[in-house]
Amino acid sequence: MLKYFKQGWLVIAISLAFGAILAGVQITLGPKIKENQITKSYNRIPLLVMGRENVEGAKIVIKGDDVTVERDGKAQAVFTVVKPENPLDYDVYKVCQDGKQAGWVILAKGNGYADEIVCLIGLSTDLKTITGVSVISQKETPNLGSKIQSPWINQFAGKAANPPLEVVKNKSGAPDNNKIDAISGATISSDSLTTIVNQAVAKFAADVKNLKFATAAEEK
Amino acid sequence: MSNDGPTSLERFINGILPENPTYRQVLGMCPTLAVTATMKASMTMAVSVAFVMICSNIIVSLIRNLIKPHLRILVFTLIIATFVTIADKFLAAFMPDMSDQLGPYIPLIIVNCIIICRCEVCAAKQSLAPAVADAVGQSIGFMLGLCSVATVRELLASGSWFDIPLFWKEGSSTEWMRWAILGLAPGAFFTLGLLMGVANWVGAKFEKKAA
Repeated sequence: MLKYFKQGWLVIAISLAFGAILAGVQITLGPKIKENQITKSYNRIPLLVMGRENVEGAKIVIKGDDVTVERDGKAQAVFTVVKPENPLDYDVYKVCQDGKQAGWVILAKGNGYADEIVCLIGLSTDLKTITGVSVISQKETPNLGSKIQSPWINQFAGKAANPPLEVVKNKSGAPDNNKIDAISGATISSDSLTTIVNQAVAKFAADVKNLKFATAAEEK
Repeated sequence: MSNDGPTSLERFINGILPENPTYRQVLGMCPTLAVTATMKASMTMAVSVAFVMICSNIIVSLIRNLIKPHLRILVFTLIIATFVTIADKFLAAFMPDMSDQLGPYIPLIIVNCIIICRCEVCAAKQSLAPAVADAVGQSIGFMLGLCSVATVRELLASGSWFDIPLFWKEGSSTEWMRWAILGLAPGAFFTLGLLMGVANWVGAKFEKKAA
C-alpha cells in the first residue's frame, strides 16, 4: 500500500491542488457564465416582441428582469420579463410592458441538418401570430444552412401561428401567409427550423394553460 | 544536469519555422482543419493554445524532477486539462460568442498533440527558461500555421478577412463568387494539403541554398 502511495503521491497532490484551483475558477466565473446565457436570450426579447425594424440601431440594457430599449440615452420601451412559477422543460418568458402583457417568448430546440438548433420564438399575447424568430445557436453548414441566422429569418415575423408553416422553394419571397421561402442550397436547414418553430408553437399552445405566473407583475 | 539540449533561443527560433507544428511536425491537425474557416476563430484558438502550452510547460518544467517516468503522461494530461478548463471557462465568461462558435474544440485542446509533445520533449527535460522559450516559439509557429490556412479559406470562401468584407462588395459587379467548399471540411483538407506542399517546396529551396 505504502509503495503505491510513494509512486503516486505527486499525482494525488496535483489532482487536489488543481481541483481546488478549478473550483475557485468555477466559483468566480460561474455566475458570469450563467448571466451570459440569460443575457443571450433577454437581448433578443425586444426584437421578438417589437419587431426587428423598431429595434434596429437601439441599445438594449438589461437589469435583472427588466429589458430597456434605449435610443440616444433615452428609454424607448421597458419590458419586464416574468418567468412561470411552475417552469416547463423549456424556457418561457411572459413579456410585459407598462403592466400589461406584450407577448410571449419561448425557447425551442430541435435537430437541424448538422446539429441542434436553438431558437427563441416570439408570439403575440393571444398566441395567434408569430412576432419573430431568432436563432441562438446553430452548427449548420457555413454560408449555406448558417443563413438561418441572417435576415432570411425575418420572414417568420407576422406569420399566423395556425396553420403550421410550410417551406416552399419559389423565389417570390413567399407572400402567402403560412409559407416560408427556403434558403437555396439549404433546404434541410430551412425545413428543420420551420419544423422546430411549428412544433414549439403547437406545444406551447397546449402547455400555456397550465402555467402559473405571479400576479404582482400584472398589477403594476 | 538538465540543461543540456538546445538553448532557449534555439528552442524559440525552432518553434516558429524550422520545427513548425503545423507544417513540419504535422501535429494539431484537428483544430487546424476545424476552426480555420474564419480568422477570428483561428486567432482565438491560437491564443488559447498558447496560454495552455506556456502554463503547462512552466508547471511541468518546475516539477520535472518529481515526475515518475511511468506516470508522466498522466501528470502531463492532468496539468494540461486544468489549464484548458480555465481557458474554456474564461472564454465562456468573457467571449461567449467565440465560445459558442468554437464549441467542443476548446476542450479538445487537451488532446492537442503539440502541447503534450512539447511537455514530453522539452519541458520534462529542461529547466524553466528553455521550456518557456519553447512554448512561446511553438505557439507562434502554431499561430502562423492556423492563420495561413484561415487567411486562404476565409478570403476565398467568404470574401472577408477577420469578418471585414474586402473589396468584393455584396451585390456589386465585383462580388466574389465565394468558393463555399473552402469553408467546409473538404476545403480545409485541400487548403492544408496545398499549403503544406508550398511549405515543403520553400523549405527544400532553403536547404539547397544552405547546402
